[in-house]
Amino acid sequence: MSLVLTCLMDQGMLSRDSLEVIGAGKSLASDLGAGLAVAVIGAETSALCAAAGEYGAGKIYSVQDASLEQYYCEGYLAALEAVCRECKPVAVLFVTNMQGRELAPRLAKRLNKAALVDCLSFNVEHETGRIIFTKPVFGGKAMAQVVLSDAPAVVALRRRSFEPAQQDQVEPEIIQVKPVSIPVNPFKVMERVEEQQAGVRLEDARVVVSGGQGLGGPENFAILEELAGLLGGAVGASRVAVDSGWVSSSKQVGQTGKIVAPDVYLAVGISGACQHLAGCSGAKVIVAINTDPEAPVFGAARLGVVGDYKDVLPPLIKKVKEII
Amino acid sequence: MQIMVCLKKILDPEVPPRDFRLKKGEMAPATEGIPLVMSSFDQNALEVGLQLREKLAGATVTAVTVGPEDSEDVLRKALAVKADRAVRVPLEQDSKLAGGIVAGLLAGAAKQLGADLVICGRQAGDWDGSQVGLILTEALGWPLVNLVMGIEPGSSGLVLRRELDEGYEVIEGNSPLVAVVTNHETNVLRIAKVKDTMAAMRKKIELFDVVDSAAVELQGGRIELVSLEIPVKEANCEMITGENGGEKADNLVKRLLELKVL
Repeated sequence: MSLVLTCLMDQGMLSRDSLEVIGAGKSLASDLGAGLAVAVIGAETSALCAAAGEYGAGKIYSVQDASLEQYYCEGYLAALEAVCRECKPVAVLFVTNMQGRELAPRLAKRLNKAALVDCLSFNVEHETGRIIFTKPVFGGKAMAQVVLSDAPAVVALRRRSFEPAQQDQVEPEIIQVKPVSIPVNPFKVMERVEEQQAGVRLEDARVVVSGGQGLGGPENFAILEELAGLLGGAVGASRVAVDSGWVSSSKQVGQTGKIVAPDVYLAVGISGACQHLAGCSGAKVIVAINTDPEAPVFGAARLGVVGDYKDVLPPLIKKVKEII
Repeated sequence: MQIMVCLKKILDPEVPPRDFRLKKGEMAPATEGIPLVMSSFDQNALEVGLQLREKLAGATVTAVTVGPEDSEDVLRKALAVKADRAVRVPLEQDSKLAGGIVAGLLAGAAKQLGADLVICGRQAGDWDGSQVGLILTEALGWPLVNLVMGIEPGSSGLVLRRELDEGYEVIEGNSPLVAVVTNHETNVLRIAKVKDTMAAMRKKIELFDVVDSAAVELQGGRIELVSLEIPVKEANCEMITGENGGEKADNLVKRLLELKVL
């Protein structure tokens, strides 16, 4: 039986990213009449194997080595190359996160195949059995449908574009894979700063209040923080606000930033470049507040307010305080 | 240190959706009336290279592009911000999603130059392939640092600051290596002086012939484009009105409550 291999990057517990890639892997395997396989990597993978089994991974390829306790590209790449040579999958799926972005193209090159990054959806063509992948191009202004010339197709899926897998307990077959050699990490980490966001994580927030160029400076993000805080939400930003140094890059929403899918996405002083909207198009309701009625953001918004945020946000905060 | 920065000339990604069209009967965008520019992450990559050169005695920055003769504009722009050398690797076809071919040619150029450090942008703002720097890493067999914001000389090698999904890290490693750059407030490309822009027009652009490695690349996997479409988006924005900010805010909250999202 042919296999769709999904690659997990977790240690111990399954992340939302992993559930999404397993969910997508199951759906692709079922469309192809293939089985689902999962690759897990780490110093000790038994907890992860058990967790993957709970979500229907029938075949688990595990690479265990003390050197793989923490993620590093060269080591994980060697591990995945060994898994692919053993598993011979028809497709290899990643999530377009920090790891998937760098692993997918490099792994494909090692297998002498092609990779696709930031895939939004796929379908299997009945007549030919080819997998057609859809990917946004030109910053989301166009959609490309592509096929990868030969198996395995190595694909990184856009976050929040696939339904997470549901529980589906199976007794997995676990295959231990030993890479011929695992290169040492060529880099020494001198400092790692995990930015703890006060309150909710941007990607999990039910309400996101984002600011852009229209805010004019870093000090004006305080009012967005206040509103987001009241609503139990998080603050995001456009690329212009990040490039201007007003907020840290971990707050950037968009194609090359965070992909968010809140109930409400409030875009304040954001003109609405396609590249930005790509990061929030999954929101239930996008609200745009902008002085320019011609701003493209209104084309994507469900609700629009033409006006200066300085006139609208203070009474909005007051109103929100009344109802919560 | 020989620093090589990879640059691509693309259709201006800032063009608004209403002006973005496809060529009739072709899976390619219409280019009439739309400016062509240096891809924005490549601008960040160039700035990272220039800043590193300023801190490393004897370092040089070579700007390299792959494409037809008219792609030399991006090299002129790099020379205008004081890149030391400019190299074009000829490729007539539109690279579309053929990052493997471009990466192969760039790897050939890196070898020909004797580069110690290759810096690329994370993705080109046209086809958004996000692969050239990574495939290039494999073609050269060098280590990679992805999503780099800045590079400094370290006590024994290079110190790179890279973006993580939540936060950042600072790592140290030795050249040769490939750095793939993302945007950050510290790497917005400097503006060229008028006299340097004029001087750049007269500078020499070297042509590199690196056919062999491209042929090798062609044997690898390919991405075949099946269709290219502009998604139809119906705008259905409901405008919230009011005499003043207060009324608008009240009406907005009312609608959000009605839509059951607050």
